[in-house]
Amino acid sequence: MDMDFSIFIIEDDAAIYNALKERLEQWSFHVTGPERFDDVMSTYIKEQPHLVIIDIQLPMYDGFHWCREIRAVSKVPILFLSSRDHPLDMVMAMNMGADDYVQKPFHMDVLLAQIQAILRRTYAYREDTDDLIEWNGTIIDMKRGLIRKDGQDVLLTKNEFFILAVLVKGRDKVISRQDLIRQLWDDEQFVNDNTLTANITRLRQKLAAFQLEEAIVTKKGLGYMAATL
Amino acid sequence: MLLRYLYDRKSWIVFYLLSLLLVDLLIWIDTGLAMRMDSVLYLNMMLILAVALFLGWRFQKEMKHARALADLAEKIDEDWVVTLPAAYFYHEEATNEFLRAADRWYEHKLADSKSARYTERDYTAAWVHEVKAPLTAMKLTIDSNRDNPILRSIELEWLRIHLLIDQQLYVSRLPTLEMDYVLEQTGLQKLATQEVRELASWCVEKNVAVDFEGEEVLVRTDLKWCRFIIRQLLTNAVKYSPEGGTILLSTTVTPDGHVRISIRDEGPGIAEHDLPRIFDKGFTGGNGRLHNAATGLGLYLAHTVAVKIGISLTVQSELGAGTVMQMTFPVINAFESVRS
Repeated sequence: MDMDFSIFIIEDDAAIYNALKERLEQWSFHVTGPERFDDVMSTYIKEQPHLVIIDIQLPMYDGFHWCREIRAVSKVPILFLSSRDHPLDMVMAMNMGADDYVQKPFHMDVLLAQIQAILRRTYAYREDTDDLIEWNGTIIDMKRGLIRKDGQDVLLTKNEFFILAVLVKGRDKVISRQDLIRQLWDDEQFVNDNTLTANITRLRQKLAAFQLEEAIVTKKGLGYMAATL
Repeated sequence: MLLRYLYDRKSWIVFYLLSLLLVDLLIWIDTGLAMRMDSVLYLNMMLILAVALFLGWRFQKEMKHARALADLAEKIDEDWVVTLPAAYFYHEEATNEFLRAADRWYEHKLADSKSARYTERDYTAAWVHEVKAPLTAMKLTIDSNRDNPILRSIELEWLRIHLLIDQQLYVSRLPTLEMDYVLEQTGLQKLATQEVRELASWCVEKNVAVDFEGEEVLVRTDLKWCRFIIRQLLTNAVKYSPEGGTILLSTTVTPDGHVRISIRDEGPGIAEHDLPRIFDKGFTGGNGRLHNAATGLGLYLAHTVAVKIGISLTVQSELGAGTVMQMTFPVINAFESVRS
């Protein structure tokens, strides 16, 4: 990542705050929160975060109040996080200058995508994902979804490519079928066991072009592994 | 009604006839009142005719209020108190007054029960929001430890709780659906995708795949309630899908311009004689008894909401050949398509 972003989370539920903090720190965000809920502003001003996440229901004052206070001094992007789902709450949040509104309970990857989108918009930053990965003498082009060796390209379908990418990223580690399926679901590819098997078979057939059909190893009862040959 | 009136007036009529009899008796006994027989007869006829006419007139006048009340009872509606017939006699006035008092009393009772219901609904809503905090924290923990098989089975139970709690929230909102009804334009596949994702842990556990078919189509609907219907249909489809089955979601535009999404499962299907009743409250059919999990509420709720937001919900099924649920959206009218 080009720079370390700090995120200020105004959330009174300690369990949610801690879980969020832990997850976001895994993504190398710097996470802080207010020390007291009757005086959020002093910590905010001290921290000067890149992004603020606010819950609506808070002790003392509600999230709208703090949104207003922050907006009075800063243009920092604000994301609301609330279990309320009335359109009025969202309209109100947007009217107060919030940049987005995420409903509880949420998928962590959805929230993360939202955070990254906002940061990208506001600070013109790009997540650096590795666009090209080297694997067994081939180059896997993450952007274009293909695999290349000696100037020869093999085009993969979305599912095949996704499976290959997951396996290669965890290379030499067994990834269970369940995990693979679940990750495909998170990527909105709603497959089942049979589809996975079919995809793996086709993937192997395509890898045969580079004599790599053996590189995807089946571990009986465990899952698959992208082996380094 | 006339007979009843005469019966009610019997004492007056008897008194009048007895008086007439007394006069006749006097004429007969008292030799001082010499009258010819046919004159007496003539006098009697006259007086009886007179009283008959009198009674007819009074019948009209005195029964007017009662008749109007009977008419009102036939077609009683919201503002019946205002349309109470005008009273002419004191007892009619008393009746009207009593009816108004009774109305006020029940109005009061109704307001009490309404406010109790609102309190309950607000409480439910607050409770649901309250309970979503621990649910969110749980979900975050589960999400970050998904490779742990124990947490995977907990995630499944988490999903069940989440679905039940959400359903409760929607049930409590159903009576006031119109109050938070907001029309927005959206892609139908996008909407359905979000709902499919919600059910990920369940589908993966059951090894059920979900396929999309057809182009993305735009609909103008209330996102929340539309998703609620899709969710009910999807959970049903997953519930009845066999292990390793596929659920097919296809979007089409009918020849007359209606957008439609069909949700097809490979489940046991619904017997023909059960089809007309699947949207009924509490109906679980053969399938429900088989699966022992159906509350018979899901499809009923989906149908109720669909009717309210103008989506037509239809079903095609055959025993052993799966079920297709179809949601057909109203055509976006010319005014709205011009505006957008």
